[in-house]
Amino acid sequence: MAPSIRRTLFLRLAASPPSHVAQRVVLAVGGGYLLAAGAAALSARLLAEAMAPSEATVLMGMLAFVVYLVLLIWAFYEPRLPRLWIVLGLGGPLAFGLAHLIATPAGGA
Amino acid sequence: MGATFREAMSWLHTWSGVVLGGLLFAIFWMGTLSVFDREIDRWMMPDTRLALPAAPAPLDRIVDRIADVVPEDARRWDIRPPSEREPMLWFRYQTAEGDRIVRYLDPATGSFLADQGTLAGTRFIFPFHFNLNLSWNRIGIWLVGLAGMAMLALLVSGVVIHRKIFVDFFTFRPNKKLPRSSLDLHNLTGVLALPFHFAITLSGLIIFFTIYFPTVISTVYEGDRRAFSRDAFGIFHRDVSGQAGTLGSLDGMTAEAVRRWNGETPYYIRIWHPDDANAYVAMWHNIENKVSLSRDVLYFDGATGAVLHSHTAKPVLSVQRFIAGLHFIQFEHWILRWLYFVLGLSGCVMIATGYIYWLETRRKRHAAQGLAGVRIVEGLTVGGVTGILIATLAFFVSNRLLPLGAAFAGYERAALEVWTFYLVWLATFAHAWARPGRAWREQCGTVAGLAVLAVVLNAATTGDHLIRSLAHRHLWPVAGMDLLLLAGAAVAALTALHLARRRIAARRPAQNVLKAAE
Repeated sequence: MAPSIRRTLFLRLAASPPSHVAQRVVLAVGGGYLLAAGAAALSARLLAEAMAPSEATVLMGMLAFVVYLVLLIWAFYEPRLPRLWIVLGLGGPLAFGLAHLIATPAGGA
Repeated sequence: MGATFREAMSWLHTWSGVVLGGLLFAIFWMGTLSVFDREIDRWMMPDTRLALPAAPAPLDRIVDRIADVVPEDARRWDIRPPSEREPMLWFRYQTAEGDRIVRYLDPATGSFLADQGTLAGTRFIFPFHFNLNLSWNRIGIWLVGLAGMAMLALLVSGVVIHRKIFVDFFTFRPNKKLPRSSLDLHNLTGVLALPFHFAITLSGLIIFFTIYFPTVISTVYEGDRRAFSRDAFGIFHRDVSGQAGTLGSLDGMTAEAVRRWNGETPYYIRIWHPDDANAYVAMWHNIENKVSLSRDVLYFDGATGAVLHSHTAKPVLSVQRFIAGLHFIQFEHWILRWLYFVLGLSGCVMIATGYIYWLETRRKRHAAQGLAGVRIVEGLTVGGVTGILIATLAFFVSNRLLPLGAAFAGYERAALEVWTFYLVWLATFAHAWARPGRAWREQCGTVAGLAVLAVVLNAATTGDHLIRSLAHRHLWPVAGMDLLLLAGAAVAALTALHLARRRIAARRPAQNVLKAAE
């Protein structure tokens, strides 16, 4: 990507319309959480095949904070909003929704 | 790329700091005090300032005393045997309606102590640290979680925007202009204590991973969270039988636990439906001599004392318990405890100076442009920083002024102390907005006055003045708290004095100011 796009980022963030800043915050905090929780849950589910389920749960439960932190930082660095929308706005609910489908089999629990 | 990543992080650092710094300061302040929560308890509950007995009363005698007082249909009893930092026996029961009632017993005689009418350190300050005492829908714990994630982002972005991280170790120029010296102090505390701040924040979040990331559990266990509790923590459950039963010897069960644990004693004992034939007892492993906040547990049949179930954590959970223990510092180590306290304070200083830097670099511009930003944020900062100190001190002072058994407008003594805290805190915000320019100085003066008043009131109402408390080992927690109050009063008084002098200097003709600035 052209460095100039990034170079103006701070100014753009500072001067961008409030709605853009709001989108970024919601995508980072909300979408980032859904993606971190969803991804951690799905990978714990996979890991549970290879190790004790409780251990996989604890491991991914701890790593989820690190994943969330990286997503938060990235969300304020990535200059292009559409990309944030795809990864956090779409990927987040998708991963979280999939995890929840597994969590409630046959509409129970 | 580097420069612009730095700019993005600078934006993130500035705004997440301004928006969540007040909340973070409250969490750091309460967390720092929680390092000494038991000592605050001793100070606020004079009847529990006891010497740890050489031979504590046998648990079976304690159980007899409890059974005389507690209703038969109590669902659960919790007992914490006396320890160095908590010399009395801590007892809590859950009524049939689900209310939890805490009582204390004399560890030597097994008799109940009078209700101390306070939530003190372990039940007000400590829970404030992790859930802001807002238990409705767990909103407090989620707010703290959000602030915790913001803190991690602030630390990462703070490191990124640094140009000379090594130089900051040695740079503090208190005589430069305020923005410069506050930034120096912000960097100094931030960089020097960075490993602590990062570890304490991340570990604080990890303690509650089951609350913050419940999806991980429900996805692996297909919604059956109890199965996870069984697997990970060895939670055992047995229903009420409906038949009356007699509780066997707790001392016998303790002896069995000590034998199985190679001499370690239980630090926490829980008894489910003690008057039922299906009563059962859990004993948790001592944690005073290890970092890990271990949840290794042994279950006994209440009537026979036979071992029903025992559980030892698997490796990853052991890591999680170690991280939790690192945060909780429940092990006995006074040097580390003081280090945690000092590092916690450094976090408070870091947050406060961050605010001051933000304010001072914008003050002129906002005034020129007619923006309200600085005024609003300054009010929040004063109320959030010195305000919460004043509220905490008012909490301590009210504790020494209210007589035992006091009640007002339907509220009991413990609730009155809490009301004092919140009303005084609210008043400090009002004061900060009403008196801009003077609020810092006046609130620093109030901090100094209240801290000295607390020490005087403690001596007057309990007789445990410093000479006496320093002379008796079991009163050292009280002496420590008094000494910290006096030290805090001195710092606050000097700050107030310094601010008053600067105000006078600022009123002098302009050329004098120019000279003073050089």
